[in-house]
Amino acid sequence: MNCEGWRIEIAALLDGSSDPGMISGVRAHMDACSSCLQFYREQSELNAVLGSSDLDLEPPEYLWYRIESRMERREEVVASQSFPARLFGFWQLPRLRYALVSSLLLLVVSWSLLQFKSRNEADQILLARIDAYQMDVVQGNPFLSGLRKSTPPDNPFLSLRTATSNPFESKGSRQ
Amino acid sequence: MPSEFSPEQLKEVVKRAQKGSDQDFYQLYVAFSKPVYNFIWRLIGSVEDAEDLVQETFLKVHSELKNLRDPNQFRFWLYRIARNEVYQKLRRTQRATEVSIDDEDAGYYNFLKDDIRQPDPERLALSGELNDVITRALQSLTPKYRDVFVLAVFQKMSYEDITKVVGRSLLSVKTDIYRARLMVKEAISSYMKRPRVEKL
Repeated sequence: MNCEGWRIEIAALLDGSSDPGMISGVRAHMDACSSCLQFYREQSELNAVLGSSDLDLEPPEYLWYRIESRMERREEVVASQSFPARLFGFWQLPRLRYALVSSLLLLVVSWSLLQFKSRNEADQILLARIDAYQMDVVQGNPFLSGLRKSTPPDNPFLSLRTATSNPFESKGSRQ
Repeated sequence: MPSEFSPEQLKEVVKRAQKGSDQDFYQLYVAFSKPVYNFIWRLIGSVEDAEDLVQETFLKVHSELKNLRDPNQFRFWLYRIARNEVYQKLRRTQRATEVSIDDEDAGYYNFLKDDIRQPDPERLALSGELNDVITRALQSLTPKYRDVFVLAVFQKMSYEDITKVVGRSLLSVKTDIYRARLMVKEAISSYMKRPRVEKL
């Protein structure tokens, strides 16, 4: 520990708040370090000056009467309040008011997020159900299942359409 | 702790006051008004403001006492309320005088010094030159140093107890008291060096 560390301990010793395990160490350091011993002497003198008796003031006697009268006035105000006013009296406390408003806001935001999340999940479940239903329908219907498994049957109209060229289309493409 | 109460007695008085006994609340006022008044006065440096703030402190104690969970903590809780009242008052004064509060170490409440330099006949008459010197020295400290120093040196509170009032670590409290001691010693060194005149 350096001298500043020892001086912090010396100050604690002078204030009666020194760690009992440190006292012998502090004393040993002061025996070896003249500047820390000087600090101890100066601070002891400061303690003597500050600790002089009758430096404290007495609170004036009228102070209690002022406090008492304000306490009584407050009780009268509370007693004169109607039941709803007393019930919602907490609203007069700014800290409580802010806390309540912030809690409500937090609740609304959390609720909206939860709603959004659960709606998404519900949509996903619905889509999965539709898929499963469609699969069931397809598999249960021999015609539809055949459509899925085999290649579509040849459409004679389609084949005709691809076979014959459209004169208008070809003209248009040339231009 | 005031000599009137042992810790057990204090606990019982606080419990009864919590239940609404005005007589027990008055006993708490009698026991603690003087130390709290001096604590506030040392912090704020004005007798008139100290009276107002003691009044506000005890009114708050009266209205909030029901919410104190552990009656053993009453003393720390009381000082914490008193300290908060002082800080609120200083902030209000600061706002009114439109002084920047950005740099605490550069003299957070130094504007108050001007008021303190003006002669206060009541204070001078009450406690003489030494109190005036000490008040000036205390007001030259930043609030962070001032409250722990006043609690340790004037209120004779242990460092452990001070941590409960100011809500800082023991190491921080120890270091701040040490630094405050250096500053106060420097501020009143001229008084300490010269031969002291007996108080009035």
